[in-house]
Amino acid sequence: MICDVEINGRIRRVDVQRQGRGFVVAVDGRKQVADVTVLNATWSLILSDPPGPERRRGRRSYEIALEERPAGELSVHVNGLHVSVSVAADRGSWARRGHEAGGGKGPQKLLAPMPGKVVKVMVKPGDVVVDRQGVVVVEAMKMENELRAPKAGTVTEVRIAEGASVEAGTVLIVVE
Amino acid sequence: MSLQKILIANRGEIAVRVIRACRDMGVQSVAVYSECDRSARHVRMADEAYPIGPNAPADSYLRGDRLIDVARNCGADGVHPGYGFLAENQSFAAACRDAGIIFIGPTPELIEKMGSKTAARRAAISAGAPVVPGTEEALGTDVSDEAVALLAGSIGYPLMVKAVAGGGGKGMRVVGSPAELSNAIRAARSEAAASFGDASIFLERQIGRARHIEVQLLGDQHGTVLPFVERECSLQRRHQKVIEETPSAAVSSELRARLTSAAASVARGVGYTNAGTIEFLVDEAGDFYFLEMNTRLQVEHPITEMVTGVDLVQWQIRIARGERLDLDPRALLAPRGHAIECRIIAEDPDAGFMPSPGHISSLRVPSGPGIRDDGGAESGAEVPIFYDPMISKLIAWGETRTQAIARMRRALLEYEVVGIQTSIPFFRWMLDQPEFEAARFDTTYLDRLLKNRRGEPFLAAGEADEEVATIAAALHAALKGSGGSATVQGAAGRPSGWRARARLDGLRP
Repeated sequence: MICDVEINGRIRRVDVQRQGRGFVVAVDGRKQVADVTVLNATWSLILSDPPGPERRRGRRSYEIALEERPAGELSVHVNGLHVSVSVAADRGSWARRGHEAGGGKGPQKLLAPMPGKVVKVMVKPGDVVVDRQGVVVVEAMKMENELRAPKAGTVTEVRIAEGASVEAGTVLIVVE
Repeated sequence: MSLQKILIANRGEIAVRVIRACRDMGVQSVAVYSECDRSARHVRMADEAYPIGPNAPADSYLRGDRLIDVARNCGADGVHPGYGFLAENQSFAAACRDAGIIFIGPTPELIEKMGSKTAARRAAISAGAPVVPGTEEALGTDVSDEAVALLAGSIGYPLMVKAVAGGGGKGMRVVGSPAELSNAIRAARSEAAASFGDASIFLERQIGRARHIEVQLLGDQHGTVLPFVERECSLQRRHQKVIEETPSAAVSSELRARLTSAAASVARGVGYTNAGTIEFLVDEAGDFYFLEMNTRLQVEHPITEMVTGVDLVQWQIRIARGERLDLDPRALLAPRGHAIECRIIAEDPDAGFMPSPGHISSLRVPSGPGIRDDGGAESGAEVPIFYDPMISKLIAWGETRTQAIARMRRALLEYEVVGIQTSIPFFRWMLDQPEFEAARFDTTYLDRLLKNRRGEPFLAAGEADEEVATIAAALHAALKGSGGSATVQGAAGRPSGWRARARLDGLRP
């Protein structure tokens, strides 16, 4: 199977092939042997270099956990470090995701990260915002939390009002 | 003997901690729970468990009347309040006493006296403890801004305007010059009125470059008060403690003797009983000032237990039974090794430390030499939005501070929480800061350090980590494509290890 994997705006082409009890995974053409077992919610992943003259490193052992996030994102925990990853089965589907790293093209939604109450909306449609500018304040767990613009651009929609209760994942504003 | 069955009027890690002490002593434990806490860990660990109402604290854990009813009906003759909720509520302590139930803590009169910042200050002065220069009387709304300005002039700038009933940094303003005073008074009064229902304020000179050092005390009902080695709590974010350690690298044995005897004098002066903590500010010159007293068990009590070997919760219960404090006073001031605590909180440090409640799909807690985890959460459990988001306290002990830090680093690497964000990445970053390693910090250090950051993640993935994540994500996609998945999902959708293994085996190119 071939797929594209994106981390922080960098896309790597990955080819996964079954080999014996494990897999051979080629990242941008560079092959590694992957040995995976699953224990409860976590994987044990051991990577090694394929046999050959260049073989130098040992069998590297990692603990992996995967969490599915909204917008098709995966959070991959590598030895406790969280890495946000997007996977597309073919290059054509990138354009449809509408969720690109960095400044990004196309509209981006600011989602409520947790259930709570909107106490302040600091922008209105038409406002120009910079990346990570504070735009909405949501109160949850007795704390006020300032949510920031997902990218620089113009606010095209404000879908909530002050005083509204929101669920996790509710679209608050859209920036284009 | 009294206290054979104790009701724990709390939840989360502290309820679990008290239940453990009860079990160690052969005492029956009674848990209480709100609706969302029905399957919480403290409920499952206790010998008996009773519902006390809906999720909002005001409808459950703060309902003193219901707690007393439950205690009466189940035959518990004592209540342990933990910290927070009703732990420093003199009306609840008094209601327990009126109902013939032992409140495991100081008397209601002591809670009231030492809970008022101005009354506690007077108690410190009469015990001969140094206090931060400031006003001795509460300044109610009847005191004009002009009168406050006169007092401020005699104290000197910079100074702090603080709420008499305050706590947790609320109702507190720093004033650098006379021009800023009236705005600060207005802001502090309105915050204090909104948060505590009391707009009274007082003034205190601001002590520059100060450390927050506190002294744990135990007092029995026979007049014995014993102080413990100090705790260093200067690492604070917005006036909330983040990392605590003991002993303090900034406290010499001579300063320890002065601090602990001052703390014990204040407590003896008011006839203090049970567990309490006196907080001091210590400046660069080694001069110290009484700040306030907490009339309860502290969150950070385990670090003291680690270096002294004393179980503070068991002693709370023994003192409440009327037993005599027969610990060796010298041993309590001679710490064995060094202990550090990190508060593991359900929050996202990379999103401005925003709370991150939700479903914990997987939790692996570290252990091994020198590691203690006082937790209240579990794999498969929810962190509710209604309460304090702290899920555990991770404590590391070492023969030296260096070893304790190394063990804490190792434990933070082992700690795996899936489903919610936690403060762990922040701690992994924090422990690597040169100022932390050198113990060079004061109470303003962490806020200054964080202010200089530009939103970069606390733990950034390197090239090698990204490659491993890429491979894992591709394997996941391949498994999904073949009808399998090894991701972590809700309890119902989680594939078993066997099924996932079968899918791995079943995948064909």
